[in-house]
Amino acid sequence: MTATVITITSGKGGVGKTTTTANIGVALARRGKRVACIDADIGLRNLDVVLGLENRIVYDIVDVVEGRARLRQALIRDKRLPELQMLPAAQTRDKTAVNPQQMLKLTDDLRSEVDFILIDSPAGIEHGFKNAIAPADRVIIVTTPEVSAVRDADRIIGLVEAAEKPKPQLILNRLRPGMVKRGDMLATEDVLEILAIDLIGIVPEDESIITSANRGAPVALDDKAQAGLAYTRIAARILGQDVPFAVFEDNSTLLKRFQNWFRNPNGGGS
Amino acid sequence: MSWLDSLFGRKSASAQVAKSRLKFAIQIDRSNLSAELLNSLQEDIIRAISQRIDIDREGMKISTERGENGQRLIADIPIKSVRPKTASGE
Repeated sequence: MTATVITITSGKGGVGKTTTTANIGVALARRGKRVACIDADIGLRNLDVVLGLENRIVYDIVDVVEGRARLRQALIRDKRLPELQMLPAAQTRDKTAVNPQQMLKLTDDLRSEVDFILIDSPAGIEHGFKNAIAPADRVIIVTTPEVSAVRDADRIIGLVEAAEKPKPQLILNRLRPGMVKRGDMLATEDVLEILAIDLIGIVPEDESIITSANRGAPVALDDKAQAGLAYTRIAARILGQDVPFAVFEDNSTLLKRFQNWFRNPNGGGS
Repeated sequence: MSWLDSLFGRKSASAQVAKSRLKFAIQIDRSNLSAELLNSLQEDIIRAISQRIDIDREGMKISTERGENGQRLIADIPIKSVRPKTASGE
């Protein structure tokens, strides 16, 4: 058995790549798959804090690439989920410290040990993105229903095509059903029509994402959170299961909307 | 009066605005020909046309223009001599 390498990317920063990587990793590990998450955002390491593993870092990806540490020494195993491991990015170097050939070798060395290698790509379309995309067997693009994020996603789709990778799949993140219903947010169908790629998941805006990141316990560990369940369904789809897309209810109550409207009549309530 | 709109549940439909703006922006992004590609195209055109007629290579301009019916490639090629070249020429 050899691992599937999935790169999670977006172009635009701040749309939720790291959160997505962490949660898909957790969700796959909870289903018994062996997963290694690689933080490819060298210089801006964050996957460690989202996964709650920041205190256990000894070596990082650059140490491995430059031969100061063996891959197995640098990988941190999650104590909550023994199937999950993480390779942290270096914090004191920049993206040029690693090149695409080194990423290929690194993932090839890992392939026989796990079922999935998830690569958290840095924002942008340059060196760091090229590193992250080089070893990818599959590419997942994360976007939010906002003009800037969707436009950048389209650029990235073009670059993934140019890199001769299979057609990427889309995660629509931070969807706010109430705003979509009011006609004030791009709907899933709108985004799919514009980007013309297949959907693999919709993650609703959920405060649990922030509270879980605060605690370093990814939301996919929480079976009550809407977003957590969304990641669980994405993991199932990655494993080839046909899981219907959930229809999210507008959870802003009438009372809340009324309160919001009083606070900010022009904003129309959020 | 957007607060009245929201009071009566009328849609302000900013999502529709977003969608049409995005479509337009992305259309331009996608069709953006790089300078490198334009240079190669210019070389190809010069090679093809020079086989038949004499053109002013230095004065040649190649550009793109966006109109209602999509993007157009425009080549402005000054002719030096209208007399057709013979098969042996160049």
